[in-house]
Amino acid sequence: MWRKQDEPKAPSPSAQTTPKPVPSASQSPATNQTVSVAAPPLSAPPAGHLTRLLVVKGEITGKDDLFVDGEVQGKIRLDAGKLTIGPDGRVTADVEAREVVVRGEVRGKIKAHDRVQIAATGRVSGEIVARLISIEEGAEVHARVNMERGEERPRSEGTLSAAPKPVNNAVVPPTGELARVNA
Amino acid sequence: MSFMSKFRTVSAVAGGAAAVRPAYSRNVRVPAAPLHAPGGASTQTAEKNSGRFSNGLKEFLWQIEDISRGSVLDLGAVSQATITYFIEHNFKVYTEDLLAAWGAFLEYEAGRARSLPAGAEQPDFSPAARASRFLAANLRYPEDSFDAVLLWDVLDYMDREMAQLFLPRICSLIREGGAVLAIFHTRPPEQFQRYRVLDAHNLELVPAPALVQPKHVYQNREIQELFERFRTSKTFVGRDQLREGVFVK
Repeated sequence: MWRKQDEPKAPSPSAQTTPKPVPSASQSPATNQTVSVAAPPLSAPPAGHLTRLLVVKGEITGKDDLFVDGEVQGKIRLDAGKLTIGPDGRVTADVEAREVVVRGEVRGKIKAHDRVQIAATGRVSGEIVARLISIEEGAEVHARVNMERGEERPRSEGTLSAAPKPVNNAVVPPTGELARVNA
Repeated sequence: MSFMSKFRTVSAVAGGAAAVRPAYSRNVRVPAAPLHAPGGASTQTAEKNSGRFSNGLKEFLWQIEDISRGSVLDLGAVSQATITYFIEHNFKVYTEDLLAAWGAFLEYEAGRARSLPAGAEQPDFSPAARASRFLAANLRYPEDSFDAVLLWDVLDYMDREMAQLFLPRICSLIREGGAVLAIFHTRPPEQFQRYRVLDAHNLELVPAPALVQPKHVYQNREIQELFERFRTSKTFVGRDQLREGVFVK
């Protein structure tokens, strides 16, 4: 499926029912085996890597970094990890991570706790929510862009206009939710 | 202040600022700086950043300044500077890279035409039918969704048939009192450009690879006809022969 260098091959836990789960690097390899665990490497292990010819349909969750150069349909959530969509990556999913780098194509909502970076080769359709957003020249964006502020601004007395949403675009939440996000 | 007292139909030329503005109360409901005021960067500073003074931008920002927490639709190539500018001024920003979508759509249509087997019934590939198909799949927002639309020079790169169908769609998306900023070349453009809002008075024009070829150079009368659904218009022609228009619904 996807490969991780310098990590022993281990049977995937049977409890996981996600179609093609992406284990995080923090998972200990095969806890029920009597293999002495080697000392952790000095350098950080490489991120999980979904290669170009792989397709995942379902939900990917974890706390490690992930590099997607294949296709993902569903949902990706990496609470503390960095998600990189490679140049050949095609993600049709709502994405949430600490940091998201888009060099390929994403259709859906991107939410980053820190920042979203869209490279010149990146294409995004849907919605982008982050504290920092970096967009290179040449990127193609068809999205609502929302930069979250660190502190909440007081509501003005002006009318809070209803936020528009693309018709038949399932990735954008209902109007009421959009309005709250922008408050 | 009343809404109408703010608007008037004027044509101004080159560097000439828009006639006399009526005094109006600055009922600033949001703690952000006024949109049309230089946002901390002087004109001189912007010129150092190769910016271009834009009467159209200044007028556009002035028209929408009283709108609190409005929504802006940017139909040009995405620019971080532009997005940041409007978000900092409490606008919700939506981007639709329309020419990229239009270019991709034309490629798709060409491929579709090529793939038809010989003798098969030909779909309607007329410009009007093609424009209808494009609009059926793009810019699908509810009516009255936006307070401002940045159209840039998108119209110069569209078929006339497409433009004639496109403008009513844009008009329907804008709320009453909303404004459109459009730019027209007065002669065929030598190079495709992206537009960035540097500050309240300055635009940066960034040469870029052409997404589609320019189609038409609009004369003033044609522009007025295209925007006939808008209540007021104001145009400025710059030294670089770009005609900037601000149209208010």
